Amino acid sequence: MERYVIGIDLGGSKMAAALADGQGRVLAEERRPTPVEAGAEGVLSALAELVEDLLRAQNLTERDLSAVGLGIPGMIDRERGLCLFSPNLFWRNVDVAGFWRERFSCRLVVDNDVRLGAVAEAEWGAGRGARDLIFVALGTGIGSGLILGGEVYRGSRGLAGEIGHITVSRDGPVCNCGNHGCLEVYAAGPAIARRAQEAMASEPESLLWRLAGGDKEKVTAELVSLAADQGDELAQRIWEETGEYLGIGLASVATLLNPERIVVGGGVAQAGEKLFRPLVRTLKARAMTAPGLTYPVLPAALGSAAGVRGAVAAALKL
Amino acid sequence: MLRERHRSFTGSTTLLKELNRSLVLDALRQQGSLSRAQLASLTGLTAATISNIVEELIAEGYVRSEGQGASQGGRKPTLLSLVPGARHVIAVDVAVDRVTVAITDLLARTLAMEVLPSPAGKAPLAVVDEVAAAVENLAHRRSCPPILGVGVAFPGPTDVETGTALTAPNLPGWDHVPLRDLLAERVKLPVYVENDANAAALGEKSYGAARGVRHLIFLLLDLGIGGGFLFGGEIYRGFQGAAGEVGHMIIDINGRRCGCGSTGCLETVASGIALVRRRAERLGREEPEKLSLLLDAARLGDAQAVADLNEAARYIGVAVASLANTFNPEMIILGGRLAVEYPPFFDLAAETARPRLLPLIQHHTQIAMTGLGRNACLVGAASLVLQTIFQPLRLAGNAP
Repeated sequence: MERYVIGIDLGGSKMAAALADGQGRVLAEERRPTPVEAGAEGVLSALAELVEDLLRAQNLTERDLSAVGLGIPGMIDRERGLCLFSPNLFWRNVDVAGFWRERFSCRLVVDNDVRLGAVAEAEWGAGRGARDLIFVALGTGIGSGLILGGEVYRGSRGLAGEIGHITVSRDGPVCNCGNHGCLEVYAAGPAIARRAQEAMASEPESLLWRLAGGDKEKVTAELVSLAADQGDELAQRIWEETGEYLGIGLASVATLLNPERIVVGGGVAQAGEKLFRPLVRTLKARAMTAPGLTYPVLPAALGSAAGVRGAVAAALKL
Repeated sequence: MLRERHRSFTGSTTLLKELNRSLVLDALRQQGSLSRAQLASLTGLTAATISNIVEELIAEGYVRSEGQGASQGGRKPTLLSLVPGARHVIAVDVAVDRVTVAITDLLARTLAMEVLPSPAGKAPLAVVDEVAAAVENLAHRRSCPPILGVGVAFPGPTDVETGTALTAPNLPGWDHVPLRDLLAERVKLPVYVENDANAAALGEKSYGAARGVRHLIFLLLDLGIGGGFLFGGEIYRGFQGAAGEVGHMIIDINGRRCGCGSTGCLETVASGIALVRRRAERLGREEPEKLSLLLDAARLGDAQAVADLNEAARYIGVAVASLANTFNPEMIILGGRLAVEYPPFFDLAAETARPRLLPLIQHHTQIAMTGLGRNACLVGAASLVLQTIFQPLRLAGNAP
């Protein structure tokens, strides 16, 4: 009898699930809004419903499933299936595995969404064939999945990979985490928007004013990308600087880990060339140089599907 | 030679026997004295296997019986213990301003040592000759038991498979030097070469502050700044063997130029070299003084020396926090002369790091002082050889 797996990527605004066969081929997918306001219980119920609907649509039942993989944006205790903390979902110590056991009998593996993204890029994406790989996810925050020696590296408590809080400047601006000069304060989505807003004050001619309908507060990283593509100099400068900051942060990570490849994904990476060009240039200039040392940087290949595909991979490995 | 050891592992029964022997030796090394029954329960080996191995180890002089333990009902069991002086090991620590060669026992305790002058400005071959001469001296000075091999800690990235020194940021002229083969040719002993901070991390794991720790970062704070990453109990080397270069993390977006080609590296603000250079600049001197003089000055209360070292310690604290937040190790150990010989350094670094740790990381990260004092790299070098008899699994894993 063919056995299937389901991979789920639970985000702060959307949740996506995919049903795959034993080879990881995706047979059906479904995407729904995440009812964050309903609390952990509500979100997990919605998730259970999503799984049941996905099965029913394929005329399958839970008995046809061998395992389910679930990626959550936050700090996860993988052994116990706990979400320790998720700022996006407003969760703290949620017993995901416990909830699951009440509803289903098939096995569940819970992991951090970015770690799973790294697994997917390593298995099917831009990281294929690399044994030492850093997958960087640029979004509201900056996270990473470290694949070292072919395996996800988790550290002592499963928290390894939080490169958003590497200090790039000791006396820099204050970060959400309370520190100064974290990479995230310079280069995450909100930081890009903030730096654009600050620059707009002295540049009334910037296209950004028009795109934001005259309201600075409406500027997002996406809008800054749009403005840059339409030739706005301020927006282009912001991307240039963002690439430089990321290049500096990743130079540190690259010098520490000497990876075979660095794969950059997440929503902010959609900015493309205007971000990657200064990033690669700065990384080359600022990472330790020695004969033969190289740090190839590639854009992620799986886009927003990386989380779901990684969850499928994790379920297959159970 | 390493290659010969590999060959001896090709037969699986030999391999199994070798592994079982090491389990027994390592249990005795860690526990002091044990009865045969305790050895069996600790190693999971059968009583018969233990009996055979112990008999062999006693014949070879590695183990001796040592009186009797408490009875658990019935005859009092004979206690066995490791004979630390059964074999010796040579440890070599190549530092930027001196080379230390020591002879140690099986517990990595130094029995005698020679300190050679700085290798800077000399050809690698000349340095190897000096080290070989020191090895000869130490090995023949006393009626020495057999020497298991020579471990070398080198201040730069190394290729451990081939025993090659790849480069040394603070020691020009050491690019792609086949250190293992050059030294082995001269001393006719197996030689093992490893990056100094990596070696120190291994030393801390077996003999120092990190016994039983699986995820460890060792920071070597001396003239240069080195890092040894022990991830999951194994040294993490990266794709080209250059991982762990903590000194070249960027700590300042617009910093000073670094020898590595970058700017704003941790080494430019917190290494011994940066400190003595800055002091020479300030005093209008041509030649920087020795690091030991700066450390002496700070201990005696020289305000400028104190201020410089304290600032360096705070930068190290920032780097410690970045490392803890990024890699979630159980423990970060500070070693090297800055940490060991200027007592406020460790506290200042730890105090700076603590509040910068992410909440969940904070409760689970130990920031610790080296358990090996100024000998961390030397003990590390010894442990490169010692692990071939106490933990040969790593070697077996590398066998072709």
